[in-house]
Amino acid sequence: MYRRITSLYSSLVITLVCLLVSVSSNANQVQVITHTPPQNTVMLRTQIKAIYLGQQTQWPDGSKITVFILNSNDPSHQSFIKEVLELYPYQFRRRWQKLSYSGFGVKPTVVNNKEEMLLKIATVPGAIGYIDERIMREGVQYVQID
Amino acid sequence: MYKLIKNHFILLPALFSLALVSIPLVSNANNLDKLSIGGFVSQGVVHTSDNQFFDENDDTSFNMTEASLQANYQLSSSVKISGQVMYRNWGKIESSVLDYLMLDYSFLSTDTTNMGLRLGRIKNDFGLYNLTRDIPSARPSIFLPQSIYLDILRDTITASDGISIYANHRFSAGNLSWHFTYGLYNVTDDLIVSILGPTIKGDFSVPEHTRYLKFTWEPPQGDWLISLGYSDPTASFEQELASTDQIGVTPGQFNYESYLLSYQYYAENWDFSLEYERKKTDSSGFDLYIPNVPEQFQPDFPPLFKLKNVSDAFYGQWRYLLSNELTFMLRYGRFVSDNNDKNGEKFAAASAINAPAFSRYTKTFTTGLNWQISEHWRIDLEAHYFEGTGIISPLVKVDTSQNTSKYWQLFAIQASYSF
Repeated sequence: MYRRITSLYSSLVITLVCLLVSVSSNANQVQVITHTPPQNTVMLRTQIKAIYLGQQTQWPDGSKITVFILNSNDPSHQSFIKEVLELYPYQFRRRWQKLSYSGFGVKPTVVNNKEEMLLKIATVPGAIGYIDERIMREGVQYVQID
Repeated sequence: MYKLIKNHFILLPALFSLALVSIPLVSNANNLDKLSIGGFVSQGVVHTSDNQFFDENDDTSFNMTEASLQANYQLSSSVKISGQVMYRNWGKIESSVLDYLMLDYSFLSTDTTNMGLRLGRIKNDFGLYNLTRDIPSARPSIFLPQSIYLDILRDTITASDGISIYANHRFSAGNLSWHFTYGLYNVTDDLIVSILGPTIKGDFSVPEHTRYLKFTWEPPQGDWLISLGYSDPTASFEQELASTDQIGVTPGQFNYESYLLSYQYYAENWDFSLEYERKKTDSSGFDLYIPNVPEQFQPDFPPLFKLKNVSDAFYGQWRYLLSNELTFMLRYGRFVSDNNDKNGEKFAAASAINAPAFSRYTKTFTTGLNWQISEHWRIDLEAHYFEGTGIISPLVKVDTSQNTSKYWQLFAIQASYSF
């Protein structure tokens, strides 16, 4: 009886672990996307951060960078801030309050959903954004973070 | 009212020319996405238990209305123009100002370095909060820590007309940003009263350009930052002598030199800020004389005041995010007018007008709450407990009769709508 319970218990644990693993592998990592023709297929994390914090406003070839974000309560916005920029969402919000009201920076453009994000990235030259799923689209390039 | 008209005199032509420039740009639909606008409106209520800090009378004041309108226009990939007009009814001061209007030219942009120039009226990035000290949604409390962000000296630090160079360098060990600004700040009537009190009438001007310098270092993870700022404002004074004045004051000059160290640490649900300032102050001139009496018959007066001191100020602030919408804040700050006389006793003993020792320092405990109701609406609520009046009678204020209470409190609530 005791043995049966332990084996039941261990199989339950194994199932749970498998479930968790499959859930986490399904959970999509947020990826940075840019408009093609590409600036770079590989970008430094520090550079992405500088772009999203308004410090870098031009691509190295001199063209204008247009920055897109999702709504601040969108889960993929939150994961982008935490995982890619390595900041807390409140830091990002406060930094932009400071930059935009002093004229030192121009706020990123907010889009409502990932479909709109893809459309903007595909059509606006110099655009940068992020998405939590890999959808291939003409004019959209996925960036590898170094 | 006169003040308002005088300010509009500068503001209106500036606005008008801005509008003229923007009409043909905006009327072309292709240009619309190059334009972005923003702003806010806010209204608050302040209750001051004693002393004259906010409004003419103690007690409750509704004279806390602020509004701004701001616009950016991208002229080319590297040049943009930004401006903001601001209306501010803040206790005793009512003003409409061109808060900033500048051309921003980003002349270097590589994978690791950015550099640019700003030209025009530029906000001063001094300390953690000066840049947005008048923006309700971008400050930690309605009243910034007064030990560092003295409202009575705000003219010298708010913005300057001049030129600024800025840069950002990214290394694997972290991120270095710096800027150097060279310009003239704008003097308002408020500065004169703040420094000399209401009894002496006259004009302040800015004899020399002020230099503002700031370096900021952040590690790659961005969980803390440290910055060092420097500024050296000067102000010179010339009395407006009335025919009834029994005694006159010769022209004089103030020089400040300020070093400000700022530190901020960020955790998931809280952040901690510490700022420490050392300020050197000196003055020249300000000798007393009897009007219409030849020099050889003038008695040998001591100067009205002679400043040569070093003073330190600091505050520590802890903010805790109770939820995404609610932030709780605790702060302690201290200000002294003179490091050699921290409790003001030497000053009080030597004072001919019986100025109290507590007029030379201030200790402040503040607690507050921000409630971000929605993306646009926010409410701020706070209480300040003060010991001493150093922050409201800082320098030489001849008349301290309005600030008679050693212990005093300030309570404030403000609602703001930002867009």
